[in-house]
Amino acid sequence: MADAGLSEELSKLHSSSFGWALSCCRRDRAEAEDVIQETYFKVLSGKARFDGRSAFRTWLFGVIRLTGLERRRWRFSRRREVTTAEPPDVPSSEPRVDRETREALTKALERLSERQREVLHLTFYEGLTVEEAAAIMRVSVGSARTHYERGKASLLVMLQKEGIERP
Amino acid sequence: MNDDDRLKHAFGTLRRHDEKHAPPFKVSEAPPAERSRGKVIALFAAPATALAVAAAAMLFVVRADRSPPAPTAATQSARVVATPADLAPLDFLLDVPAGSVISNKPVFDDAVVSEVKR
Repeated sequence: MADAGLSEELSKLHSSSFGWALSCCRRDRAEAEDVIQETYFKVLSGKARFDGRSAFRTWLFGVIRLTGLERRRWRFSRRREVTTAEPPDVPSSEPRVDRETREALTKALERLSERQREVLHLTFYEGLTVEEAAAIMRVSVGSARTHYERGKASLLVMLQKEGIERP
Repeated sequence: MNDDDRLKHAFGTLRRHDEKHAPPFKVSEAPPAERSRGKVIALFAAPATALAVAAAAMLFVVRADRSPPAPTAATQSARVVATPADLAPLDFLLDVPAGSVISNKPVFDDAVVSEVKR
């Protein structure tokens, strides 16, 4: 894929990629921005090459995930503090119910295991199948399905406790 | 509304929020600064450490040449009883306290020895 084509693909998927990077960085916005920039750099400099064996998005999300892991290890080795930064204050038109649901979901996701969080993000946030999620997470479909079922059950219980029953 | 729909709705609120607050798409020419700064520091840290170790080693050698070690009591006594030609550099290690008792054969009176043999 030529540079211009790659750049266009990355641009199209930017919003989703950023959401996935946020999930990989436990909602740390600054870290997610760094992960995205590093991923784009890897892709455009040819350090990470798309070989066409999977869908471009599946491959890109895999690169984002690995970059997030690398950065986490790098931070851990230097004992850096990771702080969850809030997005800049923008007057929000978000309905109160939606905000409460979002906050409850964010809180509940933090309590899930990493694998459960990943598979639920990829299926419910991105609308991917469990098989596609398994390819990104580099686990077997059976393992991804187990994480999916357990994570979903835990998440529903936690949301119910927070009073998030229905929209 | 089933469980999947409830979760889809909940994740939908998160997605809409993230989309609204996503940074603009931009591609930088270099990886994020913090990490590359770390790499630069690592690049210079190794040669600097090697230089410091080499300098310390040279200083140690020069100082060792300049001032011979202070003689210990053992080496002094060895010098008294032996000429330098008889002493190996580490012979003083054999000079233990009361070493003369161990190394010297006692002399017994002949009468006592013959009495014991009988």
